[in-house]
Amino acid sequence: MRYDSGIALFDAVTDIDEALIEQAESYVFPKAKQRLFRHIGAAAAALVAVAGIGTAWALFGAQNGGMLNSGGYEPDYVYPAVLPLAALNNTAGITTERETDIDLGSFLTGQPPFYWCGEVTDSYTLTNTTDGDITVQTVYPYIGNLAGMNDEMPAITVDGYAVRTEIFVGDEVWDADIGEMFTEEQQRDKLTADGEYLQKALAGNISLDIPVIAYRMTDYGYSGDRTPNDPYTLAVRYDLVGHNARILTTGFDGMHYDNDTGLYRHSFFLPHNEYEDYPYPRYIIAVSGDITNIRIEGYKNGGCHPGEELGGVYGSVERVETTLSAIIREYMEKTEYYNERGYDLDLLMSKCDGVLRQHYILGGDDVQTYRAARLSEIIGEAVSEDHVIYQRFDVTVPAGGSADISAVTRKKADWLSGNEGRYYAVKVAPAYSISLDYTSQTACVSDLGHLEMITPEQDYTDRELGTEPVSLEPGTGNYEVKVKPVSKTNN
Amino acid sequence: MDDNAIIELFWARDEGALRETQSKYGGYLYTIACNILANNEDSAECVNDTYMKAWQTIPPNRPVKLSAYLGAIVRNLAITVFRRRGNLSNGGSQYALSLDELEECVSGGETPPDKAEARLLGRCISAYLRTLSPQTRDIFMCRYYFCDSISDIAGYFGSSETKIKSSLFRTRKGLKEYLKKEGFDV
Repeated sequence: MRYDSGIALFDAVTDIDEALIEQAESYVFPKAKQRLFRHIGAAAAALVAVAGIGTAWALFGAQNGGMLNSGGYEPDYVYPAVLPLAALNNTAGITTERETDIDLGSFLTGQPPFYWCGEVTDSYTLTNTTDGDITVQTVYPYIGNLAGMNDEMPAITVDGYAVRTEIFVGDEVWDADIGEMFTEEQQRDKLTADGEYLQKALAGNISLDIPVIAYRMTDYGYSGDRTPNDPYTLAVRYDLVGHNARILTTGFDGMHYDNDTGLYRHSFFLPHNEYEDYPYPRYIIAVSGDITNIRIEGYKNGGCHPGEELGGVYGSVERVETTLSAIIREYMEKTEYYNERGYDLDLLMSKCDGVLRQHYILGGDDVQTYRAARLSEIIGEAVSEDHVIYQRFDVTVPAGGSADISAVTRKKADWLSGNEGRYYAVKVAPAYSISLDYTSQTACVSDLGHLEMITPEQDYTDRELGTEPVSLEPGTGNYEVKVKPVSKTNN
Repeated sequence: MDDNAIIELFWARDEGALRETQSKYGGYLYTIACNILANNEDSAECVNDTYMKAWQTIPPNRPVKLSAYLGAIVRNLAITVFRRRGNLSNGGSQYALSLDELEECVSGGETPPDKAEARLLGRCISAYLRTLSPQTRDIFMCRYYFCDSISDIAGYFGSSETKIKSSLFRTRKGLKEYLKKEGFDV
């Protein structure tokens, strides 16, 4: 049967913790509140008869209920922990000491996620206990996204001098991965040369030199008179060649799925003049499969509803055989946003591969047959999804000597709220001695600024940091400092 | 009326329990049923059956969270009706669509799990969901517990449908890995 494989999982969802259902209810309940229960009159009478209940009752709309009833603290925004230094090669003879300092002196409060927690300085002393120099191939990881790389990437120094690092970006990581970076399994996967995740990151960028057929809109416009603000729209429909096509568009603002035909209609507002037009071409790209019988339609507005057709809209389509990478690069290069932000376009394109697969524009041959997506949204997701980002550099530790590595980061703080107000937290992940032999790890808060430390009523971790150094032991969780602004009565 | 008072009415075999339940949760239950069945009459019947089942099972049960208790009943009833109808086409049912999506998490087995296994699986899913951020978790729940449409969920969170789909994709992928790690044969 078609649904067999998902049924067990779907049924099991019924047995999910009630607390999780309760939290999500707050989204569903307001919608339910608006329904008038018109249809139950007869059923209610039947219930009276069947259940032997002698009371009839009138119908009312649902009242609000089941709202989130939080005790303790619930995280509103959660950010990754500070991750430890790792090495790619054999470091026998090297011992590592780690000191992590959290300086909250410049903590800026405000609405997340636009505030910073001040500086975290993650310092390492590598000591060579042998009688020969050892070059350590180090990687310093952090979890972030491409959009924030310029601001969030740690600044690395070795013996006080800034070093040039090579950047590698792993696959997307999700909440579960991010939350479990304190486990040995996660650190082996993401912080050792044998780890699948790190290996894939070090393999470099993925190429999207995939042949595609692109249909480029040319010579489009409206032949009649226009008012300055009219939303005249050009829409494109097509038929599929065969049953399988994966469609990507650029420059088509509208994308509407027609339930009757099972195909998409793509549309855009006709620019009033060439200066209003997008700087990049408008394409409908058949990433796989193909389309045919392309029809240009005109509408009075972007709704493209029957009865609102507009004559005088014209356009031509030019068929181009090209590659997906060429299309994406052309779009990126002609979009000021990407040029201004200085993205590594090859890296960004590589990360589009994962997003394209999520939307079944690439891959998924055994699951879906016809899909469409906008390239702008694909790229938007690619720059905002989280990855483990590695800075790779070599450190030569002289025989019998040591080298000091420092990574300074402006770290965002978790933001949690509960019955006693809000607090912020910064987490540090303890390192397992896998690729480096950690002989000591400590962390402390060097400056609280205008904050005070708290111990929340419902403490979800017993690994608290403070103003005195705390020894970090790998095991069941991250270490964290919890703070809140000093209350005014204390001033 | 708060849940505890309604439950006391059930225990006292006071018919007002049903009136208060319908008043407070009628729309909520109808929403869940309609998301699955996409049919007003069938949904109304499911909600009606839910009241009956609640009357028959409280007592001896004393639910901690009445909305979740009732929600589970109507959800199961609606799913049973859906399957009994043999309607494998979409027909506007979000249940059918979300079932397709969840298929990615499992390869499909010959033997369906028994009730104990299903409860174990449910606990495991709960444990996984707790590792997620609240928003990611709620998006999953809205889709696969409440069977809300993608567009409705996008509206709840002020997000685009694309972002909601991506979030669900990532969560499903993470769930599959988590279940494998916990020893489930997926």
